[in-house]
Amino acid sequence: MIKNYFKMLFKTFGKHIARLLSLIVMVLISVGFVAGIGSAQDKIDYSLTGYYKSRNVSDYIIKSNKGAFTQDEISAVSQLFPARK
Amino acid sequence: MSVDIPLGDKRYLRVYFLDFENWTVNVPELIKGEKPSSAAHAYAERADDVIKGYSVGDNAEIDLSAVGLPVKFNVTVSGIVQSPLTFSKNGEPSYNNEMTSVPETTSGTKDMNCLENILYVSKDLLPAVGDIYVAVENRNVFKAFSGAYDRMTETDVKRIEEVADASVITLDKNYSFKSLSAYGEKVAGIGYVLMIAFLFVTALVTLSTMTRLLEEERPQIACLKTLGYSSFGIISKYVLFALVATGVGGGGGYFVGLGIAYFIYSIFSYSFNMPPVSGNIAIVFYIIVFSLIVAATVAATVISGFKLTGEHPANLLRPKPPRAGKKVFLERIPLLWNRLSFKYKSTMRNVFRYKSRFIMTVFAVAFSTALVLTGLALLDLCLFSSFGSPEIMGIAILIVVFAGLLTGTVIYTLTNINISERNREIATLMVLGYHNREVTGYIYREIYINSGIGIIFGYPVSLLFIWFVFSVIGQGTLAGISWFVWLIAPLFVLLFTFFVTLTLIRKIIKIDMNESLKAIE
Repeated sequence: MIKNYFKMLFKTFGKHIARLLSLIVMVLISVGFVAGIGSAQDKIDYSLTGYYKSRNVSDYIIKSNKGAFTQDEISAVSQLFPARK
Repeated sequence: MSVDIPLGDKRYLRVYFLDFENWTVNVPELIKGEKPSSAAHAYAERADDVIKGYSVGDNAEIDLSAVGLPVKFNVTVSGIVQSPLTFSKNGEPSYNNEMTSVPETTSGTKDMNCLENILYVSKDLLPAVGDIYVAVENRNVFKAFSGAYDRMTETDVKRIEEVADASVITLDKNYSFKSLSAYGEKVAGIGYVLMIAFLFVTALVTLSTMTRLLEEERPQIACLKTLGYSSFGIISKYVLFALVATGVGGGGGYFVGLGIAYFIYSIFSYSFNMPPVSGNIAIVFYIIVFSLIVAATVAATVISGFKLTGEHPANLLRPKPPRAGKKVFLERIPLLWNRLSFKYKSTMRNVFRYKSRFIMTVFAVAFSTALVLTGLALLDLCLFSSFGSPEIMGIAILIVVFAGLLTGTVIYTLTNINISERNREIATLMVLGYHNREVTGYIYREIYINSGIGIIFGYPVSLLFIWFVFSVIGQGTLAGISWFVWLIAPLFVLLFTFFVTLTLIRKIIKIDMNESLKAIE
């Protein structure tokens, strides 16, 4: 019975091989496109975030409006972000 | 401390004064040369499309009198670096720009004041503190401008401005970070609507293929039932067929997707010195899509399978009576109908005989045509307007290629099924003495009419897609699309149909009349 079942299975697959292959190709194209486009942004975001971390990119560049900061201003800003200067 | 020194013609030289020994934030990557050993040496930013760059050993004279400082000195460039703040290749805007937000496209910096060179020199040359660089302690909050990050920066900027007379440049105002992230969003935005169309067409055709396959095998199923096979046993064969088709296709799709993601990433190197590609693969999205396709196909197979096996074998053995050809709407227009020859009359009746199949074909062809049209419209925008962005152009080409491939396979699949399930009809015509040409004509006329109607319906669908895509990228109008785009796409689809029908002629001619007809009698 089992042997017959497999025989039958292969016969069906063989008979409809063109249909099977065209379905495979179609799913390959669609899932591939969707997965590729869908993960492209993630890939960019991951890389951007990785870059941010590895290069310790600054979140704020604080530029004095008068050319240079006073000592008071520097310590006031430092107090806002105690862990780093 | 950093200053932008005007050089004329909207170009500036930026000079950073910093401590080479304690450089902890915005650490640049050394591309060439070596670290400056004294205040007489400097780093220079790597050259790109706008930044001219220096060579190692070059001498640079820096005169700060233009920005109101009586300082003048010479430095020798000892190393070339890539700063993580300026990795865009299309120009880094100077501090001296009247702007509220940074541009998000690569052409956005064209008319801006941009940096011609960046030099990093020792802070000993100008000891004043003019800039403070803050890297927040929690490095995990950034996540490519997550909502939490944006909210955090907003409050922090207010707090800083309360304690110091200063302006704050957040990463949101950094052109490189902002525009790369915005491009990522655009690609995804363009992708989303097209993804839905791709999946819709694929699901439609796959489900239809499976149910029609079962329908075609009615006599065999009846045979197995009478032999004592369980319903489950019979159906499992078709479920396996569905699993192999979607499983192999979807599994291979992972690698195709990986290729596409790398392709898109590499296109971005035209405009950005891209950070190293993350090894982290976004797999969640893929798994969702893959399992949806597999689950939907298997579910449809099981449902129509049980519907068939639930019937009495005797009923299954008898062929399903072909649906009666009804009057079609054309017949109500005698002026037209009476002029049609017999072969066209029968074709018209056949086209509308199986309504659900007809609608399915029209939908599948319409959506694939619309996808091709959208890709072409986007390509047209990149080629013939000032919106010359290689990133979007790469995507456009990708869409055209994949939509074209999808259209080809869809038409092949549907035509192939159409021929298989009408074996008997074709054999009857052959037995009646129809010539090969007449038989293929009989089937193909119908296929061309179906494709034609699909293409016509493709236009309104494509208008919707194109409108959506254009609004996502904030560029282009429907009226601005070159007229020939509207002609190329349908020609494309017709050509595909033509090739498919050409390759399948053999299948029709080789039909075994005897086998096809006796199978059911």
